[in-house]
Amino acid sequence: MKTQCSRKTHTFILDVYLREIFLHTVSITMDQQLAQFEKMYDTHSDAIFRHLFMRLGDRERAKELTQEAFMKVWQYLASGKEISYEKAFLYRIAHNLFVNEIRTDKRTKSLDEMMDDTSFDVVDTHTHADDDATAHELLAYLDTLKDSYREVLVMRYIDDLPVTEIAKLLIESETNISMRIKRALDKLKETYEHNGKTRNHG
Amino acid sequence: MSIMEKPGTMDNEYSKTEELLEKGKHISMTFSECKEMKSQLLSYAKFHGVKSHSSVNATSRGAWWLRSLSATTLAFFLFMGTGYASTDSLPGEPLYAMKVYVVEEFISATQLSDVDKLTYKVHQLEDRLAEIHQLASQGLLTLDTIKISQETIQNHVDDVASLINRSTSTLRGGYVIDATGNIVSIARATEKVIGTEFSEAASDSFEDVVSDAVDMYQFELKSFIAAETDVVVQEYIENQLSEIASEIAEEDLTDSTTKHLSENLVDVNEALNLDEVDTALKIVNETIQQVKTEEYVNDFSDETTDL
Repeated sequence: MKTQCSRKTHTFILDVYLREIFLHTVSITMDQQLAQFEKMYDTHSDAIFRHLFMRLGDRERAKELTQEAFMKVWQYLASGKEISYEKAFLYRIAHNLFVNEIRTDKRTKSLDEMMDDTSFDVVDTHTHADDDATAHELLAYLDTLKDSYREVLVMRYIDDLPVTEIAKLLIESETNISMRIKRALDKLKETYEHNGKTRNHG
Repeated sequence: MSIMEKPGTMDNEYSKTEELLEKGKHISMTFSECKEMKSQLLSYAKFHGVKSHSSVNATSRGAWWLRSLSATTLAFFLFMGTGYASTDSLPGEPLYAMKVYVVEEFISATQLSDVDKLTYKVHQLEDRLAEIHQLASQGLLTLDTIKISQETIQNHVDDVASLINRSTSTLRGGYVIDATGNIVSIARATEKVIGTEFSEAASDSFEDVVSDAVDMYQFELKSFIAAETDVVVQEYIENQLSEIASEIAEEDLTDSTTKHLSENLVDVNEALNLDEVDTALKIVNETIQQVKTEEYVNDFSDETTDL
């Protein structure tokens, strides 16, 4: 009896094993993709949020677009494709989302409107008081720049992207990007000086 | 202090503008926002699971990879199909080597822990014993098939020895003593069955297997005694005594075995009273092995009767 039972058990186990093997493979793939996705979120979510916030000037919308960016990342991973360079990939998605946002004319209110709007919540004031002041000040200056200047300054100084990477993301030459960063910085400095003089004269 | 209130020189302003931009690096979502978003995204990811790779257009950029995957899968299933067909094969049959050295090795390799691997090895040895009985019942027990069985069992015992040696940190303690003790019982039962079903001379070929199994078991026993405190060893002995007691209670054993077991229990008690824990442990384990050997042999006798 033992032999028959043993053989039946063995055959049954192998049968189940064969049937389960595909499910197991899919499960492993899913677990791996989820682990990669989670790691990507932990590593890059703040940077992507910051990038979008600095470009949009709207904290809530930046949060929404950050979430949308990561949903796109998951869709990409879930389709079985691989991401070789996560950071560049995420900035590309964030950049595209921002461009779409501008195109559909959903961009946030102007800085003046924002400042006047008492409901505007730059950051959680209970936990990020310093960030609050920094964000307001920074956005005030960035809003005086045109978009092409603003984007390179955000990418270079806030996202800490090298010029080569910015050039790739914006599909432009490195020389152009370097020049634009310099001009943007000059413009910012000029605004800064102007504000200082105005303040002094006032 | 706001930079609007205190403009400096041009160079100073340059560096201050850069400094201001640098400060932007510290802006982030609040912890609760970040956590909430992560939770929503993970829910989204789990709901929108990984798509089947086969649904991807074969002409896409990843087509070469998908074709490779498909070919590998097909080859895998062909291989598994053959493996499946080999599960009922016996020593001396064409697919037997496939069953033992490919399919079972594959299953063994998929066992996650060393403990699982060891358990599976003991299971394989039980199967080898079952095959010998089946050969006997079908009149296929010959010197050739016995030789194949003996070699296979010897390989399994060697595998167990190398597995235990390899995983010095995880495979230790009472579990390994039980497993190696079981292997001794299986080896002795196999030797006995061959002696009964075929010839005493043929069973001699299993002497080395039994001897190797006993050596392995005794080594583990010594290591256990050396490594563990008396309290742990005594606790282990108590567990083994309970097992022996339940074996006696089941009344499946012959009268002589039951008498022998009872005598052994008295010896164990005496050894424990004299604080001779090592002696008690040896007696108790040998007793267990005797019981199990008898069980393995009896299983085969039952099988012979049924068939």
